[in-house]
Amino acid sequence: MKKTILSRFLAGGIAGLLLTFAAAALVGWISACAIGAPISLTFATHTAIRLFGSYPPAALAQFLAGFCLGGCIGLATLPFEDTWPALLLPSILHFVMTGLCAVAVFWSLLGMGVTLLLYVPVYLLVWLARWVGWYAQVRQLRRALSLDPGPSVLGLREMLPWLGFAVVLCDILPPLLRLIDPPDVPVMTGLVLPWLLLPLGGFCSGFTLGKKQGFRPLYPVAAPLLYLPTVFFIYNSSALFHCAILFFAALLGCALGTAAGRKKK
Amino acid sequence: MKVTVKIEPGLTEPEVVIRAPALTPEVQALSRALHRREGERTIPVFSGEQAIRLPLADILRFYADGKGVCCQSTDGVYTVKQRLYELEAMLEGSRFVRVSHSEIVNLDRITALDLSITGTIRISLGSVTAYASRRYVKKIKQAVGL
Repeated sequence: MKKTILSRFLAGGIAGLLLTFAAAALVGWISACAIGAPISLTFATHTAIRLFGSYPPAALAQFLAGFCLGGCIGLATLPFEDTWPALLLPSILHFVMTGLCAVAVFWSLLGMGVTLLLYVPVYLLVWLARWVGWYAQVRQLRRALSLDPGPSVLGLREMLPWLGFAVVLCDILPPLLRLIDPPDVPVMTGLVLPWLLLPLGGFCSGFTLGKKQGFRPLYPVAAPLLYLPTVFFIYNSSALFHCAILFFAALLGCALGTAAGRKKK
Repeated sequence: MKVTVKIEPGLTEPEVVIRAPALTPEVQALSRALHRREGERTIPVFSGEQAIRLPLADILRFYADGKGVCCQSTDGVYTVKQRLYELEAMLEGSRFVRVSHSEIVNLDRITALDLSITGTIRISLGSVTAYASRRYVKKIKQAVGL
């Protein structure tokens, strides 16, 4: 196990070093093209140079951070090779260590706050992509063992009727309501849609989905995303809170529907 | 169908390989018949001091129980003298596959597979549940022919 950890860390670290070099080369090339100067490789930002006092230690720190981040990424799959609860502590440790390395690499470019704000969703997105791959493997195994293959990945295929409803609620209904709205007081799009139709439609569709298919967290995320074109074409950015209303209504409906479905069983 | 018998003194037990241009119903039937024959194999287990021979086909899983290795079948739990790694070697090529550090399950007894949020696979063997860690997924895939 120690040998595996070391070899993966080293392999990831070397990849991290190479990527750091490549990134510096790319930035240098883009800057040179932009200002018409000769291409120069800059391995440390001005902020880093100010912090470390001079260029060499700043560049060394950047390479070290790139090595460590690459190493952490190389170890990403290891915590999941064990079973719960043995994987809990290594997973948390990995999340924290990778976050620290990400901050070390990007803080001088983006600042610590922005780096962390980007790091968490990226980490979750990568984890989700891996979970999708694992689920595809399980479906393969089910077929090989002549078992029912089960729902599609993330329940997407089974969710289609509800996504269809969401398209009608979020993208077809609002323009129709805008057509019938009086020009001076837009009651339908200003009041009825965001405060009655969206929460009611989101909740009811989430409830029926949860009751039939079980908890599907993708639906409360997909519905607001489907509403985004309406925000920008019918309203403006001040209507983004409609997405939040829809998200929470669908999430609550899905959770309650799932509970109701389980109680019925 | 051409039948050929090749004697290889280096082998420890008979090995049957079915070579076919495609997976036809005939080939599947032949495979099932051979597995049934494999299932007729028995293994010595212990219920207290009493020793009995249990057909492999009736066994759901072998698992490590701290003190030793247990064998869970459709009608009870028994102990076996072998260690888990010895059982794994003994059952190599059969429908038994190691799914975690402490469990070997009978693939023919799996009734459901579910994926947990952490990536471990929950294996249902009727009313019994086993968990496969990701480390052993490749072995399980090889055992089912993927």
